[in-house]
Amino acid sequence: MSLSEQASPLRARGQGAWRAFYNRYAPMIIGMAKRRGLSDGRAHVVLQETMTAVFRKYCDAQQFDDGSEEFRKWLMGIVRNKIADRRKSVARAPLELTIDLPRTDDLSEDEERTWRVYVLGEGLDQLATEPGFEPTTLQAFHLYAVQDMEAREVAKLLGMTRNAVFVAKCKVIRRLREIVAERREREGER
Amino acid sequence: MSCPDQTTIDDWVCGDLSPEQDANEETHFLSCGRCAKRFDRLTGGEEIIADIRELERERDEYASALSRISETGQTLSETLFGAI
Repeated sequence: MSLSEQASPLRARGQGAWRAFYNRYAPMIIGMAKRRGLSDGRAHVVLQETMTAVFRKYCDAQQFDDGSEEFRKWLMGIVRNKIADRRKSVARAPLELTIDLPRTDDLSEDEERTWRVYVLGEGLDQLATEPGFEPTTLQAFHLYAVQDMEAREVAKLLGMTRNAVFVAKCKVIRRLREIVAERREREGER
Repeated sequence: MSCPDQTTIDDWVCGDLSPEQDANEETHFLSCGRCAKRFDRLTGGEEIIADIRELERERDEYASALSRISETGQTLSETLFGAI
């Protein structure tokens, strides 16, 4: 077996892990770049540069996210710096504004919020696959709690009782709190 | 089945009951309008709900940039893994 053939399964495994990492974090990175006022094109440059940096650092380990707080801060720092680089290049254009971004290891309030929202998004995806959370439970939660629809209307729409709508809201919030707490706990342990 | 006391409702909202108790209380809440209203007021979660709204707003607002994520990922994956 040639060296290339020997390396092939290893490469495929690494590629799979990297794609999983990419799919998980890319929306968050695009969101951060867009919130900082970058165009779609520049946001994608930030995404590419960040992912390349992650690849370079973690490719040998073939694990791109160890779930630790340290990793979270490192990743957010990379994104922050790549955004700052893009903004500097934008600043050469006369009508663009530039703002100095913090270079500390501590995450800004906005970055903390970004992370919290990202973890919540993951939690919602997780809930959709958990036994005990029927699609109607999640729909009831969404319509009643997120979209502010009247419980009576939601119940009628989904063919459930009004009490079941209240229960659905409570169960989803309860589970989301647990998921976020578990994630934070794992971060602290590593 | 009589209505549970406030402590039990609080525990149910927080997920602190045993699985069996949890299921029993849920059965009660599903049929008791008085209790359902009581615990709905306690559920809270305003911050979580605000964050979910923010998540959805961003997904809508940045839809054009987000729609290209898969394409960028494919190109990048081929470039990075093609080089090793």
